[in-house]
Amino acid sequence: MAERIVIVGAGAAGRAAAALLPQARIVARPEATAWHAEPGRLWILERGQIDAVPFDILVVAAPVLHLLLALGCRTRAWRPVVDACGRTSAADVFAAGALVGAATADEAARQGRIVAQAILGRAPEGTIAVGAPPERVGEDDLLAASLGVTKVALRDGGIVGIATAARHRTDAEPIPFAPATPIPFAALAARAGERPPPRPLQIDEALA
Amino acid sequence: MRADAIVVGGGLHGLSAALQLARRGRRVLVLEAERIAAHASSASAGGVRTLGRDLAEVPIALAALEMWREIASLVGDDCGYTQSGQVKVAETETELDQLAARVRALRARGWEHEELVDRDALRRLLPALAPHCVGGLVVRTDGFATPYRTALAFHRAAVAAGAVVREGARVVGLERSGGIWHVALADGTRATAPIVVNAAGAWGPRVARLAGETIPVRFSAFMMLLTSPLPPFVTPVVGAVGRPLSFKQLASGHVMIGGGHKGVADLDTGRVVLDIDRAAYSARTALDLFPVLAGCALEHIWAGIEGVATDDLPVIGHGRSEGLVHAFGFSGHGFAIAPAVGALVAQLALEGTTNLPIGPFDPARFGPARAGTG
Repeated sequence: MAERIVIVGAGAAGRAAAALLPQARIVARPEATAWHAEPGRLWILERGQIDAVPFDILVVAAPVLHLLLALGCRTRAWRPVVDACGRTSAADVFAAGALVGAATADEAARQGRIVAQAILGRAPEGTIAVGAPPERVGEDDLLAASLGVTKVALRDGGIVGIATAARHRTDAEPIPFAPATPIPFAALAARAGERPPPRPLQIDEALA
Repeated sequence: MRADAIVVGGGLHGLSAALQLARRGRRVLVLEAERIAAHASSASAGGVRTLGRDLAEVPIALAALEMWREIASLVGDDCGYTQSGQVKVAETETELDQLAARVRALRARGWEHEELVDRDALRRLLPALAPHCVGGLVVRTDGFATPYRTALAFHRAAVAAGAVVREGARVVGLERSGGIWHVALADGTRATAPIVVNAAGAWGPRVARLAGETIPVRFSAFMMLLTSPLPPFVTPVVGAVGRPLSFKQLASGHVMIGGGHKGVADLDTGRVVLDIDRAAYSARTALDLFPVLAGCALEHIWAGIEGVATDDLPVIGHGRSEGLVHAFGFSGHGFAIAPAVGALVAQLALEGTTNLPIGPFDPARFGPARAGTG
């Protein structure tokens, strides 16, 4: 298979998926941290360096909802919205395991296998159902964890206006921002090359 | 619903216009397609800046600054407004010469608010600044505020003054007949008013098009970076002459970095995709100027969708159609002037003229409207 498959997480769900997808690249802590994603590219921190990992198919099998939010995947009550084989609202992105609400390692592994079977085009052995919403440890904790910001940053504010604004959105609305998770500032700066040319203003094609 | 004025767009500018119209006794209806302050208004850097403004914007920026100083009396909340000062840093002698020329141009027009400072004075203002910087331009009365909190305060004040604000109210049709705008919403309901204010931000050209007007304002997704908290090391908001940068430390210790690097926005979905390589260049610039950032973490990056005109000036003025006022396309620097622009919009809508010059912001300045040139 020519597809570049990337699996985030090496817990029960990630390992089960990887067992059926030996060509997949595994991105898992502590060696590598997946801190951000955009369509077709996963951004990782590995050995202190920031890098982009291109993917055709992404399996998120770690509790990192912010990656799915950054990819524009739909969520409901702090869980990704997935179909019976773990496919999110983005066709090339799957989710499995604790993130989806799997309560045990066995269930997480079962979900990881179903996702892998779906990617391989095989009939999945079973279905995935999204679990109950995460226990409410407080809206701030959930929001902070999901957005990859610390609770202090969140509490300050109105300050992180965008995160605060997120509180007021409903599940049906688009997420007008792309969250990231903490990485060393100097690592990001080190990635900078020559000054990039300014990105041209975007034109509204709908009015063209 | 029948109103005296309908404001399309529940961002800071729409809410400021609504407040001013409602305070003048008008029945105001605000129609917001998503949620109030969903895009640029909450993703803004929150700079309250007269420094470095296009000369056309200076009168409005100075008027707005007076309003910021009394912002609590306007909207019942201090909006996190801090008079920290703003500094624009020159990294070379050539850049410093540019700043000196700028000051001369301002002085020639009678404006004294920007002050040129040399290397030593700059060091006193910004002790943590990298030593290669040679001087700068300062406005000591500039500062910053908290964007989302500000939008919420304007929302509360507008509602308290009698405005009705509807969220999830997407405008899909604008028709004028019998001296009245008939506004059609996506949910099938309608509203009417003799006056419509287009404060739809990046979506402003779409609203203009509903009224048959072509205003070729573009859009961008301006990125912001937020670091982990650091001990206090900088008070003023810092920009640079030669590189895109806006840099400030919040009371919480977090450092907020913006300045113009862009991601990619989608107007149909309201989504943005970050441009990590350009964010990295932003981080590099900040680190070059403030080496103290070397040990901190990057906590968050976001981007807000903003209307940007090709001449980098806002669109403020009457539309071609009677009873239509445009106020959008603030090009990434509309936050500071929002309190004053709301008043200008109310003057335009009710009196037809304004007490400050707005000619350079004329919606018709892009030339004759031709379909397909947007």
